[in-house]
Amino acid sequence: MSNKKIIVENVNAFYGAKQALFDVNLHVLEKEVTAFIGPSGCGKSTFLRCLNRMNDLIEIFSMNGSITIDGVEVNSQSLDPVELRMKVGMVFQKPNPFPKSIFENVAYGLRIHGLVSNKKELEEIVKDCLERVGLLGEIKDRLHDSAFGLSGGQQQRLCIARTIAINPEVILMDEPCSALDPIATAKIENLIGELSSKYTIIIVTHSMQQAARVSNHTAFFHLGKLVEFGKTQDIFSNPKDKKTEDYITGRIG
Amino acid sequence: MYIIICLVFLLLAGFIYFRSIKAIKSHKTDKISKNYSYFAIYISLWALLPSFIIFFIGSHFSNNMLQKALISNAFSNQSEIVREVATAEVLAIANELKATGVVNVSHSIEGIEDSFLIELAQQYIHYSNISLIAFIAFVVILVSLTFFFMLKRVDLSSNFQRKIEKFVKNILLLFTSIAVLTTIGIVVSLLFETLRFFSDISIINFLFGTSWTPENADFDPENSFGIIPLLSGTFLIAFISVFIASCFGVASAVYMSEYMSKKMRKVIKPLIEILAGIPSIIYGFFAALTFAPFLVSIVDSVFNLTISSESALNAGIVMGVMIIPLISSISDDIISSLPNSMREGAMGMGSMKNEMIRKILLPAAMPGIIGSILLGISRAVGETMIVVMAASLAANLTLNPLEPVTTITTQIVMLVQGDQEFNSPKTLSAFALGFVLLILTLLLNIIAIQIVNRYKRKYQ
Ligand SMILES: Nc1ncnc2c1ncn2[C@@H]1O[C@H](COP(=O)(O)OP(=O)(O)O)[C@@H](O)[C@H]1O
Ligand SMILES: [Mg+2]
Repeated sequence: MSNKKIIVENVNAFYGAKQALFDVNLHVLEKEVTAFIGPSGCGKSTFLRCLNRMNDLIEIFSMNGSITIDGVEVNSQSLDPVELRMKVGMVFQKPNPFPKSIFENVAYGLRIHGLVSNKKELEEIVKDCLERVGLLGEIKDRLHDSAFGLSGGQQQRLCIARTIAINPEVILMDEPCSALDPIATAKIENLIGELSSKYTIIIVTHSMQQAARVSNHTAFFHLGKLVEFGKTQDIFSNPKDKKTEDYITGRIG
Repeated sequence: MYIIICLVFLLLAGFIYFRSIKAIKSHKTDKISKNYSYFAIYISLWALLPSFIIFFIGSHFSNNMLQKALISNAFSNQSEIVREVATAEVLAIANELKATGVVNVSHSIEGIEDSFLIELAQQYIHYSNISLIAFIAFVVILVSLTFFFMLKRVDLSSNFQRKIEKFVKNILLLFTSIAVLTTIGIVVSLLFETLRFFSDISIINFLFGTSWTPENADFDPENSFGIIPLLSGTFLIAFISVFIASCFGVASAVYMSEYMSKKMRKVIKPLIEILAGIPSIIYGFFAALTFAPFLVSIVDSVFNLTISSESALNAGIVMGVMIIPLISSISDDIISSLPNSMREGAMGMGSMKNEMIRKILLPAAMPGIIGSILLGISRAVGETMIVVMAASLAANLTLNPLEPVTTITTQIVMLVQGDQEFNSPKTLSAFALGFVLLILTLLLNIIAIQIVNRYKRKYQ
């Protein structure tokens, strides 16, 4: 039985006066894959971005309630968001490599956080990360070409590589495959499976099959409320809530 | 007089309009029943426009002819200059007479009686009235003829709405080409005058000469027109100003796009853009009267150096202030247009905001920022008022910002000011300078716009 990595209690979130999340309670287990599903606009991304305080960047955003990671309150004044985001990495919906070379994309985090002491070490870690996302073989001699030259799937794997380069404990993925073709999607799903032995992964997805394939636990959101949360098998085989059942069988969403 | 002409045309237009509607109604083709008015407009356009053009061109030429035949001939025994002056005087009297009804000889001409001039003017008015009426009559007949001809020939079943659209399109094309042609005309005339200058002075001496002393043009023309000191002065001032403007402009762009709240930015940005609209003459006398003495005393007391009150530094700093809004506004647009996903990617990696800006946003925006700086240089090179008021007239060849220098634009102003012989190399050299200036700014602008556009395409 793994322990609870993230514990969320009574979280409400607002964009200005508009409430986007209503009293969310859930926990995420360490080194497991947790999937958030639900119709679009139901607050999945909002919730995900609360976990690494990405919503701080939105002027009108505010929230209350408690989110703790390893027992540390995420929103406490004493926690530096920079440290939090090193620990909780994020992969976005649309692949967003930096306008730099493939190598520099991965090296960026290592450099700004001073995680390497010399050039050789830097190169080793960058190559290792690219290897782990299965990219190194494909682009061995294009390491110093622009990252924009890669295909969408390759770009997304590059974004995963640059995230794992700074050694996070949690990786948040917001619909990481929604802009990709089925083959690229399959590669990322395999990668998630491999990474889950080392990292706690939370993935937002609109594809039920994907949630079923990759996750251990699933949370179903609807209109800003957490409707049901439990083992993925249970949710998909016998959902307790009528709304969950309707969504899974394609009647809402 | 013109009121009458307009009335005549309006009457004709109205007449044709209603006649054609009537004509088409009597035809009883239901295909075009909805198109009555389009048909009428179409016919009117075709009947009126050509005659209209003929009328104006024709009356202009007939006036010219009348002028030659009546006035110039009367002075055929005089010298050419007297003939020209007398003709001009008669026309002036005629205009005065037409406008106010009062005869007024402003310049008497030696050897010619005033009363003779007046008599000629009266005759001129008389005949030009006759010819005008004749012309109107001619046009009325012409319009009527074309009208009835069109009515007979036009295929009533065609789509007149579309035809009018095509017509309007062609008119718009005409206006556009007039604008473009005017520009080309200016450039070509500039080029011709420049070539005339180079037939007097060798282009080598112009481009590579190191002394600019047009006041010596009369006894040593070949060595008086070296553009190098002007170029060095121009670029020295441009460099100082763009250096200042880039530092302040980019810094304020970063602050506006990344740190300022949206509400604040909505207020501040237009404010900065208003700065760009201040006429440069205001910066000019600010530079000459307020800033120059201040700079002189500062440099003297703080650095213990002597600085000319017409120094490159003075003009450069004030021009820099003028260019800040240009660079800051474009750079701000460019940084703001970077996709948000780029910021989120960097912040998601745990960057500090300043790391994100320095390492991700600025490198990504750099080509665009460089483009805006090039536009700034181009503006600085072509700027006139500030340097006319604040820079020197002496063409010193120096790169020391504390010394007075002059610029291409300042010299052009000096060269064409006041009464000048049009054919002297001194005046013509202004065209050559203008041409150099045109080429310089054109090149800078083309490169800058290319860079900015290529950059915009990349991220949008
Ligand atoms: N930056 C924002 N400003 C205002 N409202 C937002 C913002 N982002 C999301 N919302 C609103 O919050 C709700 C939840 O959005 P989101 O979390 O993006 O949903 P999901 O990811 O499940 O599709 C939606 O109604 C959306 O309109
Ligand atoms: Mg979303």
